[in-house]
Amino acid sequence: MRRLRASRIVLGIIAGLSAGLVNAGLLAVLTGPRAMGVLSGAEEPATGLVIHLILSALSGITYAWLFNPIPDSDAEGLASGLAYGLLWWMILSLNLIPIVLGEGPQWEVEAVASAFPALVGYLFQGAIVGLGYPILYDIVTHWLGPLDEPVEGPQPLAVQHKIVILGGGFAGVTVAQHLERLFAGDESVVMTLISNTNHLLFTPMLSEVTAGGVEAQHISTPLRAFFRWTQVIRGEAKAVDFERRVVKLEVNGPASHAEVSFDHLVLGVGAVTNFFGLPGAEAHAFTFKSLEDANLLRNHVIEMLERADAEQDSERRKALVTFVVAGGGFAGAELVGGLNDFVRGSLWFYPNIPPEEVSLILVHSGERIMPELSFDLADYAHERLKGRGVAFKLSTRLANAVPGAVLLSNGETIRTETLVWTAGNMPHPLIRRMGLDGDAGGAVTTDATLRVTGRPNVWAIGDCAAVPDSYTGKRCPPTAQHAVRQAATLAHNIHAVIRGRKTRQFSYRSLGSFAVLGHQTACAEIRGVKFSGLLAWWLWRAIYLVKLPTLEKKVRVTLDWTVDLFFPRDIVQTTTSHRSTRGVEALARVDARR
Amino acid sequence: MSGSDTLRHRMVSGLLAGLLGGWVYGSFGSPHPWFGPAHHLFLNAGIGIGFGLFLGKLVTTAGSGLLWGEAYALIWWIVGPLTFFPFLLGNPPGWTVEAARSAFPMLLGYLVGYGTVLGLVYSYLSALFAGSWRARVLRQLTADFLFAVAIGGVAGLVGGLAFGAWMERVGIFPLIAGLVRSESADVGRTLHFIISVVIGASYGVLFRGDIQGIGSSIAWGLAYGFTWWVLGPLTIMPLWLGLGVQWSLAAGQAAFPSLVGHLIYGTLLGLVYSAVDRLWRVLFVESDPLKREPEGPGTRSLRAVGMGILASLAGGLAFTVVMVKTDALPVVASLIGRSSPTTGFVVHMVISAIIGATYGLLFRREAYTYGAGLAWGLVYGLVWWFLGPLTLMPILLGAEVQWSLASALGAYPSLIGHLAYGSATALAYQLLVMRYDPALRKGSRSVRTHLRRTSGTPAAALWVVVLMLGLMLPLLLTD
Ligand SMILES: Cc1cc2nc3c(=O)[nH]c(=O)nc-3n(C[C@H](O)[C@H](O)[C@H](O)COP(=O)(O)OP(=O)(O)OC[C@H]3O[C@@H](n4cnc5c(N)ncnc54)[C@H](O)[C@@H]3O)c2cc1C
Repeated sequence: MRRLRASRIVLGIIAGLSAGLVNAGLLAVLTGPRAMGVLSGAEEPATGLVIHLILSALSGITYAWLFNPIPDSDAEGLASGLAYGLLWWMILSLNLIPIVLGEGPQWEVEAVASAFPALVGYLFQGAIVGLGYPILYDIVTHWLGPLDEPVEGPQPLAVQHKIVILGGGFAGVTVAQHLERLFAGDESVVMTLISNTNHLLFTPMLSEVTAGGVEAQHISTPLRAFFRWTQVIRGEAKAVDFERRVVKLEVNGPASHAEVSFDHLVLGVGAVTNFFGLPGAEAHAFTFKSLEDANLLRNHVIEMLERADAEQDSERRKALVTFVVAGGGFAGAELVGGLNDFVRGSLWFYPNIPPEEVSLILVHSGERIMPELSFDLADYAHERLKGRGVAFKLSTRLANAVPGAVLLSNGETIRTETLVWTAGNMPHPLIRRMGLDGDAGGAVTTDATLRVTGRPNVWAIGDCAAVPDSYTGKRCPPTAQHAVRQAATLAHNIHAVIRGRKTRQFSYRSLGSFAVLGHQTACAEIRGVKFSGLLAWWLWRAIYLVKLPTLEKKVRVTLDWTVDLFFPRDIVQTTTSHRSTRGVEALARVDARR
Repeated sequence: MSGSDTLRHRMVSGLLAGLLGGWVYGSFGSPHPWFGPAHHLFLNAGIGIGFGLFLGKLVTTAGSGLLWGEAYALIWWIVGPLTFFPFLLGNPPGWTVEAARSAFPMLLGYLVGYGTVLGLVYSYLSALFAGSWRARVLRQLTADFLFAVAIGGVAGLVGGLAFGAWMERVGIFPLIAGLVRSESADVGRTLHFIISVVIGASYGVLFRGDIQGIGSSIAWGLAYGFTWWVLGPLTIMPLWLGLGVQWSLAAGQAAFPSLVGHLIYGTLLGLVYSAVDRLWRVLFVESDPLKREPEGPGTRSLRAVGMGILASLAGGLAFTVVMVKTDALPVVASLIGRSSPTTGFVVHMVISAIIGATYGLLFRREAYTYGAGLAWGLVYGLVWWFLGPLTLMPILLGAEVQWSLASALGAYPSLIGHLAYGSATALAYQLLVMRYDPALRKGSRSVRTHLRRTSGTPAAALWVVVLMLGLMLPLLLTD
């Protein structure tokens, strides 16, 4: 590489100098001793010649830089050289020389016309450089062998650093993106991303999928679309051997195993639903974390509406159109708002369901929903949801769930066929299995540079990691907002470690939070400033649209939103096979266990 | 076919085409004052054979023949009449603008004889020798060919509309009607549109194999406009009317407004032709999932726009130097009815961002080296000199277009400014592109094919023709 650059420079100088000499010679013959002054602005011919030759050598080097790879034919070399000569003339004769002489740029037509002799001279000079440089280049490569690295054929890869990223969520994808940029073109670094889903799900819009406002595919981007060099493996990490530095995977189902070795390992496996040991809930509740969850729930809700429409018995019908969401955090509140819109908005299609029989219930253990928000915003959210028909069971826990009903901690029983569980998350159990230092909740602890305690080449971020928050002193909240910022710092730090530079500490002050509560209603708190209603809703849409990865998906979601403005909700069922009623499903499970 | 065969074919085609081109030049133009008829024969034969040997390989289509021919003619004009002829004969030096002016008739003659005729005839002769003549004729009668003729015609009509608007205003149509011995403006107008459509269709026929992106197509159109300025009002039309060719400096000066008209015509022709062509490709060819690129055109184009805007900062600032020097900022401000230089600067930067964005969009994949990028940037700067200060700006300010020689000469500093703008923008754009795709920097082949290669097309010839004429013609035409 270095030899290559040096020889280019030398060849450029030779070509430039010879062309400069020809130009000076011709001009001297044609216009007499004034020529050197024309070319360099210097009074003294000898000084002029030296300046001119230095500039010419420079022009040769620049030509070599500009036209690399060299033109394919001599004629193209000549022609590009002529164009180059014109440019060089404009730069020198119309600008640099007059500026140095204190006359300022000479762009008026008379001044340019008087620089005509130099124009012809530089055309010659450019032509000779354009013709000569490629010829010299060919001669030299003929004698010395190719200057370029061999372009075709497999190249021996000197891989020195293998970075493996576990998890294709916000954390993992963002790390890989930053690393690609930092290590661009460096073939000694190989990045591999392992994920058991093949897409990145944009969770903030998940409730809109259930509510039918946005297509499921439109809020998720294939992992393979993000990267240019990073290798993507769709597989489930089962264990990590820190001694041998390998990740053990299941690639195509439980039967096929694989191992991927690493020098640096990034853990970003996120969180899973935590049922707090409520077996009934685990067996009967819908979860709400993945695209599949959102799709299943949506199909199930439509199934309930269809059945209710055909149901004669009012009690049973009521149970079919009662929807219970457990957990009043952001996810639960957003979901119940979206579901409420969807169910009530679709009743128009189902004339046999009396609207007053429909109920959506949010069960929450705290005194107010969305504890992350300040009191008055949470209150606002509560009032708005209530106004739109959502019922609340506050300071109440789910005690159990059985087919066809849920039991609450206050002794109440609600007959329903639909329970969605958003009441708890915990770091992915894989973390615990690895035996790394963790906090009480099971998240792996890291230092401020995002290194896992006691493991210099293992890093962790996102929902599965307990990263110290430099502002609150506590653990960073498990949000995408934090995950992507952590990812940027993490990528910087891995790059720094490999390149032997200084690492950086993670520090990020939360911007605030947003919750969308259904039709044109949202509430937000950004750096202490509170918004609610339509303005917040617009902000929500604008900000999340910007954050949604890839332009294509932005366009698709925008279209979905636009269509949604003008047409009714879509109630097409895309699958009826799963969980059409929980009773049937539960029996099937019991059978399977036996 | 063996190598020596092709070499012989090239020499023979070159010889014949050279003799024919030389005959055209000799019978209409002012003969070289220094040579007798025998010298002439030798000169023409040599020029023709030289073309075949040096450039023959690159002439793969009639369009490439035309452009390489013109570039070749320009080079000879500089080497011959400007440099060696006077030198050999001990005459005063030829590198002054006065000498170049007196060699103006020869410039046009060279462009017609040793350029257009030589290049076009060569391309057909070499095809004939290579035995591909019949295949070519047959191939030409395909849907592809008809499509090129049709959109060429449409594009020609659009260009003709713009050019015609000016003709209408200055009342040139009756003059054109004179071609068919009439004086009616309607006849002239009809004739003008017929000619526009025919030239447009011929553009499609000549260049359809070379046109890849919209940007280069605009440049092709510009060169084609130049060609027809020389061929039309200065050569064929006066010949038709029995006046003999009009290759004198005075005739060139008088026909300057029509030159700008031809260039605007050519720009629109190239733009519309390739835009329709692209649209067709995007809708019916590249939409095929098997041929589709991984990123759809939407993502690519928007990124190109973004990079173009960013790159235009460099160009816009470079241009500001001359704006300040020539007090042009208040004029720019008057576009939005203001007069302060600061407002002018802002308006100027906005315009420059818009033009930068179009550069990104139009020249997205034309260049794979910094040098090629620079050359395209210069060409695009030139286009905007004709389009901007001479045409659009006066129209936006509610005045007539400024196509007269006097106003063009007055706007010459702005030409240099536009060229500076174009080159700086293009260079910055290329740097951004290479940065976005570092593999490009290493020149790895797989990635390079990803960018369109302009080699294999007469792009380099185009740069020479367009840039040399663009920069030199105003200088030559001054009094
Ligand atoms: C409904 C909902 C709404 C939300 N709204 C917001 C919001 O508005 N704003 C906000 O900031 N945050 C929001 N969040 C939180 C946000 O989604 C998470 O904080 C964020 O996804 C965490 O990113 P992560 O990469 O750590 O984990 P995840 O995004 O969960 O990604 C983990 C990845 O690891 C993969 N994985 C797991 N186990 C394995 C394994 N064994 N092998 C291989 N791969 C594995 C998974 O497939 C997944 O791709 C919301 C979450 C939900 C569920």
